[in-house]
Amino acid sequence: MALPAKAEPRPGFTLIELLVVIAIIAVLIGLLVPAVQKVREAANRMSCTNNLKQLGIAMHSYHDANQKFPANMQQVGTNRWECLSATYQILPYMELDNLFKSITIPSNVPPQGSAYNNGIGGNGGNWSTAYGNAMNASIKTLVCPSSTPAPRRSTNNRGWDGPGSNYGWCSGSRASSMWDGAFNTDGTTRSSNTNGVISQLKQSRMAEISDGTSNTILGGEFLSGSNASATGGPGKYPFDIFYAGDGLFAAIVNKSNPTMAELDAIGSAAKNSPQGVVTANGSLPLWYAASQSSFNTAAPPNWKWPSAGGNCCPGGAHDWGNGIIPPRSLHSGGVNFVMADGSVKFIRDSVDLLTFQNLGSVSDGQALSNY
Amino acid sequence: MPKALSWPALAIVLVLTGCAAKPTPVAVATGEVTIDGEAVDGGIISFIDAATDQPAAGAAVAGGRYILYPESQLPPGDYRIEIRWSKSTGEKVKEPVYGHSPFVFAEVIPAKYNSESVLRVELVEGHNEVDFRLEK
Repeated sequence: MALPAKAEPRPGFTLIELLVVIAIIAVLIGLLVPAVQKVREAANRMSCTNNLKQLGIAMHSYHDANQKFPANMQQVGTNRWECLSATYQILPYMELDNLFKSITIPSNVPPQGSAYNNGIGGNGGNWSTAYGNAMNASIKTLVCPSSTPAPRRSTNNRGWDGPGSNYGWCSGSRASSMWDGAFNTDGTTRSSNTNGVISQLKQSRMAEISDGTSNTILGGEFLSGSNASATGGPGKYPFDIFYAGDGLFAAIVNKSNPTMAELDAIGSAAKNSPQGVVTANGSLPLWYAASQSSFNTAAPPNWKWPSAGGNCCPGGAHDWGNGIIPPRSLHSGGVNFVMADGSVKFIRDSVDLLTFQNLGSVSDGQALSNY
Repeated sequence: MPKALSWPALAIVLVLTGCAAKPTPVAVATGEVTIDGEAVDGGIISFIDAATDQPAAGAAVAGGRYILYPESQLPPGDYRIEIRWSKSTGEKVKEPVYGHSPFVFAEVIPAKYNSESVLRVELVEGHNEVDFRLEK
């Protein structure tokens, strides 16, 4: 009697083996994916510091050629707000000479650092050409790859939207955004009250930075607006600028060094603002307005409250005079800055308030603690 | 519970306990601020640490009321209070810029309530209701 033939084992694998292999692969992916994300953010941060380095070198080249830093205001159009930024002045030093030459500055406007109000006829075309072309040109060096995109042209219901701007110049530690200065006796030019390296109303020299160029902020990062509806919100923290009312800014005792308590009051009022919101900020690098091409160091980086303005301008995208426009970024824990000596530094959100305000000011004369 | 499960369960309990950081105590305050019976609207109330004399936190006074939010992270303790109200005088700044002329503001609260203030409050953890009825 023949024994039944023994069943030959079939080649292949069992269900259990398959599941084990899948589980191992899943674990490996789980380990790898967060690492890839981290590497991507690290690369973005490096690209961002590189942008700031380029801007610092361009600013130094401008200073070498002119013995002065540019002012953050060059009138081009008929109205006082039709002005270009300090970034416009350094375009030739950023290998963007074609863009620079595409804008024609009329011969009847004042030199950079002042602007006439509604008085200059016939320059509307110069402004509209600049606004439609050069000011709407996307410049890679001016956009941080970690940031969210800006409100694109013709998408914001108040206008002032554009290609995107994440870098601006430091106007100092005062809680002011625009026009911070008194009229001189000639009735047209203004003296500047700001204490930063780049002023709207004057061209400063490197020799004026008596605190030392490596201890003074030249420029830094901010974020673009969310493009939410501008008529009373809902704005989005931390991207938009909220109005807190002019009275709270008027109550600041030491204008160059607002205290934590005063900042808290303005910030909490901005958070509950019934007065509206600006969402077209961080969009036009060549426009002279605060949050487009400048910021201040009144409040620490990535301030816990929304960026705040005073009480202006219905239809506009910037505040008339009062503002807390702190530097902001989406890098974790801090913001990149270019110092006046051209070096790039990462300053943490937890920096001491007074230290940060002194970093923004050119001649406070105070010793800096570690930051 | 079967014995095979009890060890992993014990391990999970051990890992999870002690992970949550103890929250630092925070004082929150609300109240009314009036001067000679008039509600302060658009003022600043500052809480200044009585020990260090450093401004610790602040709040806006709108419509006669202030709210010190928990975001300010103010620890409970003894504070000196300064209240300021830059009130619009009704006049406007002479030179309009940007086609818009802002109001002129003037401080209306006497120095005894701000730069020379002796107002003191003791804030406890959690909610505090403190009213300030000022007289010129």
